[in-house]
Amino acid sequence: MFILVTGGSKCRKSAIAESLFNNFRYRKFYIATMMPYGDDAEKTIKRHHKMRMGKGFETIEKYTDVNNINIPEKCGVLLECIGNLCANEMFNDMCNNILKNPIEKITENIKYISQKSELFVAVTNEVGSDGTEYSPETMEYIKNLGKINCNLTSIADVVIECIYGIPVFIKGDVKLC
Amino acid sequence: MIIITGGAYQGKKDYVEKTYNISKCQMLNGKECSTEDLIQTKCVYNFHFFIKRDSDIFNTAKRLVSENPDIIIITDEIGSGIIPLDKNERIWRENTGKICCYLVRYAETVVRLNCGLPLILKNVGKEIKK
Repeated sequence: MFILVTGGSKCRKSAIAESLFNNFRYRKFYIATMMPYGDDAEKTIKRHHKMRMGKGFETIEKYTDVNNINIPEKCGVLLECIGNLCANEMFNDMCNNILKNPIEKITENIKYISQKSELFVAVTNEVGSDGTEYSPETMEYIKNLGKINCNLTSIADVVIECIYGIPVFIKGDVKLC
Repeated sequence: MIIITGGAYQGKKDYVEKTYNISKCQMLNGKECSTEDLIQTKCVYNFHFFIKRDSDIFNTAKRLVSENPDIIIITDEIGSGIIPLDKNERIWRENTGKICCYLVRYAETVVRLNCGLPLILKNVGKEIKK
């Protein structure tokens, strides 16, 4: 089962994504894609870490190439988040400067994780709704993440949009606990 | 408490006017009102701008729940974009999310407007206490 959780800033996406594993009995991994640079990132990482404490997730930090993770059979995977992953794939390759098209790469890698795991929950972001014109690089990022999200919703069994802590099912249905 | 959200210019005030019988001139503007006015009012719009102006917003939100639990709050959704470079803008955007998550827990009704169409996100007879 692949569940995609989306929404804007501070809408409790993570809390809802984590709660999907409440009744999951097998081993579970948390793939953290956020690079720990800068005050804000550190704060977010600490906050998420605190939220996950005692919930039994094994954390794997992987900023790019998330297909290079060995996922044993019958495991749960929570990946957070596609927005960071997309930025990392695009902007953090020092040799190639900018990866022109991360859409196919990320779509394929996410598909791979979803096939390997028993329950896969990915958290993504909605970044295209502030009506602001940004630099060409940022516009490219918005476009890429938008297209990746479209690809992922077509693969996902369930898609949940969080609005201020309220989960809205925009594709499929699953019992929340 | 009733919370009406959605993007800018999606018909939120019109919806409140029609559904709850409150004219626009009775609505308080969050861009310029005082905390005390907010605590007294039946309905506030531009609540996201009030969040930006209030340095003690988490306390104000608590006061709203206890002192004005029947308020109708109209607020724009502002969290679905690129993370702002400016620190104050970042804090505002995140506080809007946090404050709205907090208030939604106590609200009996939450509606999102999109192109003038309401999507009922929550509707319970009684407020939920946590």
